[in-house]
Amino acid sequence: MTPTPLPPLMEDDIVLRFLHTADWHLGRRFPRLRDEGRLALARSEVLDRVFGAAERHDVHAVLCAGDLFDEPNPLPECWQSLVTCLARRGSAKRPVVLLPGDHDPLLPDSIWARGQPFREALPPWVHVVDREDFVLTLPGGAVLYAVPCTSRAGQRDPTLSIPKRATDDARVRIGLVHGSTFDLEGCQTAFPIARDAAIERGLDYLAIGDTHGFRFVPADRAAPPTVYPGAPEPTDFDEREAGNVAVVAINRQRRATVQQERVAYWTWEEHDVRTLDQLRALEGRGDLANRVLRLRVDMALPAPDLDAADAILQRLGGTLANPPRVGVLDLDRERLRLDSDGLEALFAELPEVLRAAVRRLKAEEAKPERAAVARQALLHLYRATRASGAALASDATAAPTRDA
Amino acid sequence: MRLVRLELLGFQGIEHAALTLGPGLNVLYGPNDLGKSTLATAIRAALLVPPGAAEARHFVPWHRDEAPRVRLELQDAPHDAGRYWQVRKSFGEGSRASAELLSSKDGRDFTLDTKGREVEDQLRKLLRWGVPAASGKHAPRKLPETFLARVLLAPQTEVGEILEHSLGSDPDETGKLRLTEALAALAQDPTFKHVLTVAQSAVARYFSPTGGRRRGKESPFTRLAEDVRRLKEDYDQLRRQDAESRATEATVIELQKQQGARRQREQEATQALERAEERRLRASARAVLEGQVVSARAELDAIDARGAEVQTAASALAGLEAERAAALHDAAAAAARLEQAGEALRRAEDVDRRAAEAATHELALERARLEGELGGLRVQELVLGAKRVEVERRVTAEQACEAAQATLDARLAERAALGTEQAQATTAASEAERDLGAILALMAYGKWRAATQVAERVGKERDEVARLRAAATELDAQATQLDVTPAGLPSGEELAGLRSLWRDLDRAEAALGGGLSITVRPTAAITLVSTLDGVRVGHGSVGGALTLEAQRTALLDLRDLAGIEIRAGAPEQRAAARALRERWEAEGGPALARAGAADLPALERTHEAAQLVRTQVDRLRGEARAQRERAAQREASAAALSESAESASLAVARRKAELDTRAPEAHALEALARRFAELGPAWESALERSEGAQRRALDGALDRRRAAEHQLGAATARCEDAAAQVDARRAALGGLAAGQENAPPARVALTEIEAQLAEIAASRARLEGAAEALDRGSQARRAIVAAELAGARTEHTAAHAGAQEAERRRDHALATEAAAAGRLALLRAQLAGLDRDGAEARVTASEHALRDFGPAAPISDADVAAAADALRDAERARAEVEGALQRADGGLQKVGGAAGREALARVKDAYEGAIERERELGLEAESWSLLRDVLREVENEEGTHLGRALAGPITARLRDLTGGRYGEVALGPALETQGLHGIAGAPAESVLDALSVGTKDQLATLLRITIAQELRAAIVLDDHLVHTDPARLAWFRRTLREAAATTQVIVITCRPEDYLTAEELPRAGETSRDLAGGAVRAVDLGRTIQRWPARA
Repeated sequence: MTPTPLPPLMEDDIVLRFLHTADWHLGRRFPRLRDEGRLALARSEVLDRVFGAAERHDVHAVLCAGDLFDEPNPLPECWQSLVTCLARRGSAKRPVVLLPGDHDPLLPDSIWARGQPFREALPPWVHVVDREDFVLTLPGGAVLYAVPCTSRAGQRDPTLSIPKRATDDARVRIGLVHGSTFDLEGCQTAFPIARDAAIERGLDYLAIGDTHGFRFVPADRAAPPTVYPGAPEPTDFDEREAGNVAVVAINRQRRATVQQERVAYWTWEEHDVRTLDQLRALEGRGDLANRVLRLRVDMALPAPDLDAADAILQRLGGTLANPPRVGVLDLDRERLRLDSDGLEALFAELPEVLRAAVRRLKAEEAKPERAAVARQALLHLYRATRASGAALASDATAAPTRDA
Repeated sequence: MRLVRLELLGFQGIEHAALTLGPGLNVLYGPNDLGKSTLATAIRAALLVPPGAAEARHFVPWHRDEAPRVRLELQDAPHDAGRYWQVRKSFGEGSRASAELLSSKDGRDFTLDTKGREVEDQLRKLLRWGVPAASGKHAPRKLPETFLARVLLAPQTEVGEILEHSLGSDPDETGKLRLTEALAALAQDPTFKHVLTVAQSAVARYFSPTGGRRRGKESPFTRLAEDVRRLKEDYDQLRRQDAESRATEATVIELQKQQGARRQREQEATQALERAEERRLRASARAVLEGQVVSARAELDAIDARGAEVQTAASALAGLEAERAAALHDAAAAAARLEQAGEALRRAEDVDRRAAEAATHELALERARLEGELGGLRVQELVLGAKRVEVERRVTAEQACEAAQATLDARLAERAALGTEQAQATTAASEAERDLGAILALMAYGKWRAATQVAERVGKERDEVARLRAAATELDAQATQLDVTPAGLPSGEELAGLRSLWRDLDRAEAALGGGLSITVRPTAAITLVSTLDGVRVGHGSVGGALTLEAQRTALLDLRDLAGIEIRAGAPEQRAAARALRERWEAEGGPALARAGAADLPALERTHEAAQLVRTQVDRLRGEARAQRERAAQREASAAALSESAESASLAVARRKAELDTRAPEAHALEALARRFAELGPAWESALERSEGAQRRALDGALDRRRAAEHQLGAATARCEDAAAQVDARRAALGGLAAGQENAPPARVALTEIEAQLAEIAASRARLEGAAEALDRGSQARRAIVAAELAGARTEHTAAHAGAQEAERRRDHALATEAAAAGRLALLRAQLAGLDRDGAEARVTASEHALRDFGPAAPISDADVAAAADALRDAERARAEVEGALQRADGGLQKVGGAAGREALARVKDAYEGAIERERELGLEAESWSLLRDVLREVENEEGTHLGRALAGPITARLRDLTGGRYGEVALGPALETQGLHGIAGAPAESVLDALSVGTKDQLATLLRITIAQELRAAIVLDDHLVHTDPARLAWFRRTLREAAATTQVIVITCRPEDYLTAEELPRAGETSRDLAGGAVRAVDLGRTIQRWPARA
């Protein structure tokens, strides 16, 4: 991934450069997906790229704005991967600030509590925001005010705990909180953050976390910036602009510039297929390996084509013998069904008893309440007959493929 | 299903018959008119005829008025669990009719399955022969005639009729279904078979044999259901959590709204209160001005009132001066009365002092006298007290003496009672000893007698052994005498070979028989002798045409002219017959000669006689062996007895000596014998029980005697102790009474002393009363004087009070007068100082100021207070909602919030996915099930052309039987026999019609056997091949034996030789014989069926 050049700030004018990330959701499960283990692992693997970006941009600090774990008491393997990454990628000259969010709030027995093994394992330059009046002085005389979530929900704006700028205070002031800005649905109890909080509190940058897509608040990027960097690795199909971090630079005039940088490996994609050709085209794509693909197949095919479609789907999803073509496949094939027209022709050369079975099953198929079962039974009959080595009529004699 | 056993009782011509059938070929043979076919009828009756049916009239016994009964035992095929069934039916009308069906797992223990009408229905279910339910609309009124009933149980007279029937005329589908199932495998195409197998395997994965979904650990439904259940639990939990979370969040949001509203309301209330306060201030200012007007007017009025007061005070002072003069007079009079009362009081006090002095002196004198008397009484009391102590000690000693005497008397009585008890115990022990002796004597007698009897039995056993051995020797001798086998007789196998050879020869020669008709027409008279089929006939001189009839051979001897030999048959048949004839002459002739028999039947009779002798010899030798075995057993028994006898004889002497000791006299021995006879055979155990009981009784009596003796000794000791006590007490009493021989008894003296003491106490009480009365009299006199003194004091006090009151009134009058004078002076001074003009000017000024202020809107304090209350309410409401919000905020910290909702969405997604997978699995399972069912249905429908399935095997057999003469047998879908192919140019139907009776019978039998084989069902063939030649019979014999490997075949025949060789028939004394390892059973019905005795 090639880093994008920073906005035109004079390099020697910059007093503070930091990386803003949030919503790692280490330990999240994906029970619907067959390969949820790979996706869970992706949460840990992306950290390496997050801290790699910090190194690359030589930032002064890394600010992590909450929901770093998916729950307040994650399993040891979840936090151990973080500790390992920090030890490998971190540096004493680049403090890291970890903020508890609403998924992993600061509770008396949570992972953030003092004395917990996780806390004991953290290097000294990693700071956990474990009090409301957390203040940390950053390089260049900047000061960071951070307010943790202490529960899964709350109606109080966490920025209210940040002191207003005194009239004689000329320092760069950064805020770090986790919550929903007022333009988001249901913000009233999800730690609502006033949209003008940065102005109200005299902040030069308000780093927030919660929403998984990269976003400015307000969207017109009016200064001073209030930014959601989003999750560095997406967690669902409906997340726009997920998979990024924000690299922020602030100059002596306390003006901040923000750069969005992608760090994710996985791309989550939804795809609908209505013809066999579309399915074949999908199989031909070369970018499926890092896709979490929700594939909805909606078509009725003659038995031979249905076999072909099944074969493609099997290749996409993989088998014990063959690796999958798609990274993680979430297949919805409820609407993939047999088109039984012309099935009799396939059985034309077979004994009457089998032809009679086809006719009878088709009669069942005509009953709406039995149609699905009868169609499937016809498919079984076709496949079992074919497997017996019987001389089914060739595909050429079968009815032409009809796409739904 | 096969038949296991059949039993008839009073059924048609059979009084009783019972036979057990083998699993394979059963040949039931017997002569005509024995009742063989009745057995077949009974089987049909047991299986098909309701006990009360009209058909049952034909079953009644011929010679007795009783209900015909039949009992048939069946067994399911092994693949149907091999269960045993037993049908019991009694036929007739009303209560005579009964039916029971029993079942058993092992064929031994049967339990009732059903009875009455339900038996028929149950049988129909078991058989599935196309017979409608016995209780249904199509219930048969007579013997049900269905295709399968005919196939398996055709009556003797309907053997060939099966070709005219089919399943199509069955009133019920069960027969057709059963055959369809049985023939299904024959109808299956390989591809179809594969698909069906795949479908069945798939269904077996999803469904249990009973059709329910599999529920085991390995079931795909179970695994998926477990996923669904787990996810549903998670989903429900998160949903609840989310609902709580949303409720809390909604509460918070609602409270936030309320907070805004209430803050607004509070602000409005504050403003309202401020307005009210302002109005109240203006009202207050106007009130002040109004007050100023009022006070100015009041000042003016007060000045006018003060002038009036001065006038009133001057007139009041004049009246007070007169009151002051009267009070001075009253005060002087009261002082005079006080002086008089003081004098009277001083006199009374003097009288009182003198009276007190006199009373004190008299009282002192009288009290001294009374004290003197009381002192005397106290002295007397002390003396009497000392006496009473002494007398009480004596009384105590006398009582102790009496108690000791009473104890002694009681102990003596106790000792006497124990003496009696000891005597009784001694007597009881003696009696027990005597009884025990009698029992021991009886026992000795018994044992002595037993020993004697054992010795006698040993003698008898030895005699019996000798007798048995002698009898065995005798039987052996008889057997040896009989055991002379006639020389030259062939063995059984040789005879069977000869019989077979003879039968082959007979058949070969019979095969030659086509019938010969020879007509001799001599041109001149000739002498003719003919030998027709071996029968020689002399015809004498024959002049005209003579027709001779023969079957196989005709030899015409024309005497001097020629000999003509005519033989029927093809050359090869004749050659075969000749070869057999030569073989017979080579083998059979010598054998007949050796045995001295004229022909084969004679040889068989001789052989049979020899077999009978052999059987008899075997029986005699068997009996001899049995006798010897019995002798050996008796000998062993006698030996055992003799051992015990020897040991008993040793005891006899000892017992006899003991007996003599216990019952030395002869009459005592007789009594023992009588008593012993009463005891009966269980004398020993009875005597042992009695001895035990008697010994226990004796031990008990001896124990009681010892106990009584012990207790008696103890009682004697206690008596001696009590006597010593009496003596000691008496000695003590004597010591106390020493020197007082003439004194009254102690108790009398004690009574007197107590009387004197009572008198003294009374005197003392009296004296103390007198002293108290003295005190009371003195006090009464003092009281009178004191009352007089008090009266004087009261009068003095009253006079003193009157004087004081008069002085007070005087002082008051003087003070009132002075005050009135002072007040008048003060009022006059005040009036002089008041400014009436000034007051009038202030009234005018204040009224002007009020008019200038103008009006003020009315507002009450209540209005202001209400506004303040409203503000307080608004503040409280705001505080309340803020408190609630604070609490809700606390609750918010415990909810799942947005994180919980995300988790809920994920789990819901997973749960719905699992539900979908479950639905897909259900669809998969149902689709396989549907496919299997459809395959079975079409298979059944295709399989209902049963003719196609059966025609092949029947045709093959018919070809084999007829040497390929006929082609394919044409059978219809319901097994209608439609014709016979294979004769060129002839329609199949006509070929069938043209078949001979025998061939039709054979075809029918083939059809029946083939169906029975496919059904694995027992078949009864009742004299079915009567028109069949020996060669085809031989073919059927072989075929039936082959079929019997899988199917039970019951052949009823009067010609056992058609199915069995002579060696295979039951031997003499046997009713049946199992052959070929049980595959064939020959049953001689002549020895099995018991017919009614012939009537005179």
